[in-house]
Amino acid sequence: MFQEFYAESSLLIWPLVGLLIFVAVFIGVLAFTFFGLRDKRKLEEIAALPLEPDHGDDDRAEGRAAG
Amino acid sequence: MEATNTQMKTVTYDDGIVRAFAGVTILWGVVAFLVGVIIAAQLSFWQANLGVEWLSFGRLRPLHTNAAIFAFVGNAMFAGIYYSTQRLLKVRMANDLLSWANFWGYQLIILAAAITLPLGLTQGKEYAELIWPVDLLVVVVWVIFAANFFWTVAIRNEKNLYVALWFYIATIVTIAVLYIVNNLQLPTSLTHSYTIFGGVQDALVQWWYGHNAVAFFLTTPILGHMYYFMVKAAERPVYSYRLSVVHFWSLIFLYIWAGPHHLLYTALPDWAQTLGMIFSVMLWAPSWGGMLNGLLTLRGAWDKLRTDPIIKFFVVAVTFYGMSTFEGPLLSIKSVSALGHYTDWIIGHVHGGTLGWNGFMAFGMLYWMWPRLYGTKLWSVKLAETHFWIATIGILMYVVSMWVSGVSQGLFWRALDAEGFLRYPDFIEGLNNSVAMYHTRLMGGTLYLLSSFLMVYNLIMTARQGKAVNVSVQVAPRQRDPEGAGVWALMTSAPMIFITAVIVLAIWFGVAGPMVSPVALALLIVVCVAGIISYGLQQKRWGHWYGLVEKHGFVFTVLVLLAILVGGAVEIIPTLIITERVPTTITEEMIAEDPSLAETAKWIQKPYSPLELAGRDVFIVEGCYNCHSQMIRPFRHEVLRYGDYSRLEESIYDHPFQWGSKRTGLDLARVGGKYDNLWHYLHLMDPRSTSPSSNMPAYEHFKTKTLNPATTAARMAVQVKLGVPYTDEDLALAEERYLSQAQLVADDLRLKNAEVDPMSEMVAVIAYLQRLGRGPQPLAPEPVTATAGGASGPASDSGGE
Repeated sequence: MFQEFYAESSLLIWPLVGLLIFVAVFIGVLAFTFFGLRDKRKLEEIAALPLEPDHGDDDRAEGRAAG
Repeated sequence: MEATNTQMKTVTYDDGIVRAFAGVTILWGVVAFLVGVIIAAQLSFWQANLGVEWLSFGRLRPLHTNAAIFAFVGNAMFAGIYYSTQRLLKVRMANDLLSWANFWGYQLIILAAAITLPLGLTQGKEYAELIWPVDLLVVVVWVIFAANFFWTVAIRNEKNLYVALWFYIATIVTIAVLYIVNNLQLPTSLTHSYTIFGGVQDALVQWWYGHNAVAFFLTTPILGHMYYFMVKAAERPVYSYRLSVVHFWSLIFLYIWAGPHHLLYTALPDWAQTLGMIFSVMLWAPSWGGMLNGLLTLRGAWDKLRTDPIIKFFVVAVTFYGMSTFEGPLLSIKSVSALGHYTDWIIGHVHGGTLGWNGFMAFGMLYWMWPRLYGTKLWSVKLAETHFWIATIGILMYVVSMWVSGVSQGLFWRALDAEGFLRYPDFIEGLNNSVAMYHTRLMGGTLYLLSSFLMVYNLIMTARQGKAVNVSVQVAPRQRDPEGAGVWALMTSAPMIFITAVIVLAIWFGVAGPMVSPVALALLIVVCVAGIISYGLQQKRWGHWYGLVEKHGFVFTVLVLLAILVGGAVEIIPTLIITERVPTTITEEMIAEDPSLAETAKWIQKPYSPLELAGRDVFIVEGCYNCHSQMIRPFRHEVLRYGDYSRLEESIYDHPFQWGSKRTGLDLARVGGKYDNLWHYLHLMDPRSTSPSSNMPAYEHFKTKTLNPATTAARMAVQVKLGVPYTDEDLALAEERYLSQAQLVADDLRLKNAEVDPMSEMVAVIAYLQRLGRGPQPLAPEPVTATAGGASGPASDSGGE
């Protein structure tokens, strides 16, 4: 009977495998991010990329809106 | 546009394309809000449907959702991406022609949607209504956008890819996969097609797409904007770059699994529902990590919140992001979904996300970006402040009223009396209880619309006082990284081998039998230990490796693609396989050979008759699924109200599925035979005649518009290619059977003093409704039955509509 298809299907192992992969990769990313990426100076440099002036000398002053 | 001197070179950004996208964002935003207000008015006052078929709720609601998502947020997304990408990569977009092809192609898509949706040209799937020629155009435009973006990444002058760009890459890759898979369809004409998936398959694919459209169209690109524009407005770097890395990878890994939470307690196999729920609940963590990262970016700059409306918009947007991403996982818990699904709670939730999170981010971004694009200051800060407060009050009125209405509806529908029967059997009574909240929603939406006019005026005045400028900057050309590795070297490096080994061994562990799986598990542990040791010995190289991955757009894209494909494939493939196991035919001879087939035979479904199929196509054209579900959940209160719960095989030949997601009206899964043909006729002509207080539009045009049976016969032939078991005889006799069944229904109506053309849409829709939840209906006067619909006399338990 097709209603019992999943009860006996080996296909259902795949979601569990997927979950396992996710957990492994997630723990890996977490560990790597907080323990592997130790070059703080480098990270700060990347984090500051949006703040580099791109509207001439007075970029930040233009952030102020006036009525 | 690049002039080189000795060390530095001048780059002139293409801000014209940003201005264009920002301009149409404002335009389409107003249109989306206006249509939203119109359909909110229609739910409050049915007269607002105006008796015009192309202005009815079922046709305008898809226009509203498409306009809000794809026109308003979509154009804001492009504007933000084009602005920030050029600056983060320190290079002009690779090709101006591609940029403008992206712009005009996208506007053409929106225009096509604005014309086709009110005309009823639709696929009948939420957020994927566009007909196939428009779908093709979407694919072409998206490829153009992707090519331009990745080309720009390749020629960049900045070696590092900032986190906002990761979110853009995830958006581009994932939307391409989602859109193509969900829109696989077989055309029957230039304006009509059938989805290749049917029933439960279609439901799963649709909500895999639908939910991830929210994730990768309404969330990831906007998070990219948050990480760029909020940083610019706050004049501070993001609170934690490390947290943004975790935010990104965990978000894209988790989101792709969450789609089935839209189908809890439906006929979707339970394992898929559980999987969707678990991953949705897990989404809480990265979403809130990202939200806090955004809010804490304002550390030390909270004083700006008092004076700067742009910061106000961003803070409220991110707060709405937090609220929505709290509410989403909450609604994904099965017991909460049991209450909230099909109610207005969901409507409140999606509007909190789209108008609160996306809308306020777009407003903040426009106010920040627009004056810079015109080399001036914002014309009026006070007007922007006013916009902020009116819009905030408006969206809060909207969301809170829908929460109240939704929870009330959920409680109302499930209330049982002391004997275990429905306390409120009349559905319309529940609708009446929501009317005050519908009026409040209308007021909230109107405020949101009116406030947007202030922005339009303010930005027009800002543009008028300034002058369009294209910014030029001096940048240092990117030097080849002396320690840089090629793509191949990266893919074969120790960390990549480690990741691959973990994935392969995890798969082996899963598929191996009980004797071998311990070996796989042992190997998995060994590899993990080896990886840890390797990492301990070569920490710098591992850290360096990830830095290189970040710089290699191609490798980064492959990793993103892998992350999203795992979740999609694992959920969808098993569901694709099961429907092949559902038998289509069991003959008497087969039962004689194998008596056990007799039990299976009773589950076999018969496809719709030609007339019923034609009626179903009209049902889809009118967008009836926007208010009527066809999926009875296995709860006592639902079974009491609607009949036996829905089963997987019942909708197996439905291309597309029509399970719906909202019940402004009753569920229709077993409406067949509940009322007679005359009741349906009267109800469709004037819903108030049979269901006082109903807010359903009238469908008088069903009586005057006629159908061509030859068209249906041709459509049946296409359905055969999709696996619907119409025989050669069915196809050959399609027109004849259409006519005879239509005559049967028309004769029955004539007996009750309702004169209707057998070729009318009315007859086809009635035949379709009478089929729902039952087996095949009589196609001809023999054997003699009283009515084609079978049952006579209206059921007495509920008003229904």
